[in-house]
Amino acid sequence: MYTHFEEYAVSSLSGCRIPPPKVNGKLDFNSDWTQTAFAIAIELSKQGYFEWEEFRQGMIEAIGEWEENHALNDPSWSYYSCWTVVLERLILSSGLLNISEVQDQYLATTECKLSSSAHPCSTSEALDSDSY
Amino acid sequence: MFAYSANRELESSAKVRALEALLIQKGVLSTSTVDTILKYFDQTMGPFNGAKLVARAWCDPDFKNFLLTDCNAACESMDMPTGMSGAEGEIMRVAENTPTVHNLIICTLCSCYPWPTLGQPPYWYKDPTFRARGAREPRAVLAEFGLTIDPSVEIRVWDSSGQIRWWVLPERPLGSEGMNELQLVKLLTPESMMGVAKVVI
Repeated sequence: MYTHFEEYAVSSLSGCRIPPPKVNGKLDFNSDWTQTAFAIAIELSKQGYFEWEEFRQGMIEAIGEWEENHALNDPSWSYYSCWTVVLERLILSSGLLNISEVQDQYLATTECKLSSSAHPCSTSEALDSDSY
Repeated sequence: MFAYSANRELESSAKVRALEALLIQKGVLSTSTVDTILKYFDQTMGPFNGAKLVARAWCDPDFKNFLLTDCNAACESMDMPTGMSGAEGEIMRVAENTPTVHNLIICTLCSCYPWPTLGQPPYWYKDPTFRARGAREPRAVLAEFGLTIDPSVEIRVWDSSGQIRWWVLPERPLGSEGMNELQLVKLLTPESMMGVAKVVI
């Protein structure tokens, strides 16, 4: 039977108790960037830049790491932040992008955000972390 | 629902934007990639015959009784494609959700599914883990689908087979009293007729 890759990708995560957030049966995204992160991962795997199983294992590892180092009710938990970490690792390891160009673009993006932020101080602290 | 730290959100958001911009620059992604992927999940399948049956049942109590008593005959009574009432000779049965009972359909053996009414089964329905856990811990599985069932509500799990294919008659949502059948059809999703979601307006 023909199966859409998109559906396979999501249900493979559900099987190992790391399901994407859902509400009433449907995927639940709390912001635009989570939708983008979700779609990029699926699209790149569809195009063959990495196997979906690599992504799934990465999610198991990333969530496991988080749970080892944080309380279960830690308010900074974010499913799609873990997703982003795994996505970035796989993009770099596939050779699709290199770390310096990602870093440059990241800094350009954050500078753009800073210049348009109404509260630059608090935002600056946020983006001056150990991301790179 | 998750709570998020503003800082972590900003960092992740900036990273995703950076990755997206570079991948678009390199021609790996297009500006419509995200919309295309999300559209698939929003509009997985087209209209369902099951939705027409449910909408009719919500509007006509006699038809509802007919549907619950003899689903195949109810299908034949409506203007639906040939083969609708059990293309492979199987019997279709409908389990009704009520304020005190919530029904979930699974197939523990393989992936038997009432496809004449609900279309093709979603991939997760065929996943061995879903099949096993759906029978063993339905409340936990439903929670993972974002559906928390009150502990006072009984959950009944129906195991489809080659002979009997189950599906669910969901509860009519509050606020839909003034809607006609055509409007009600649009509210129905395959998930709601499998028991992993409710119908909402």
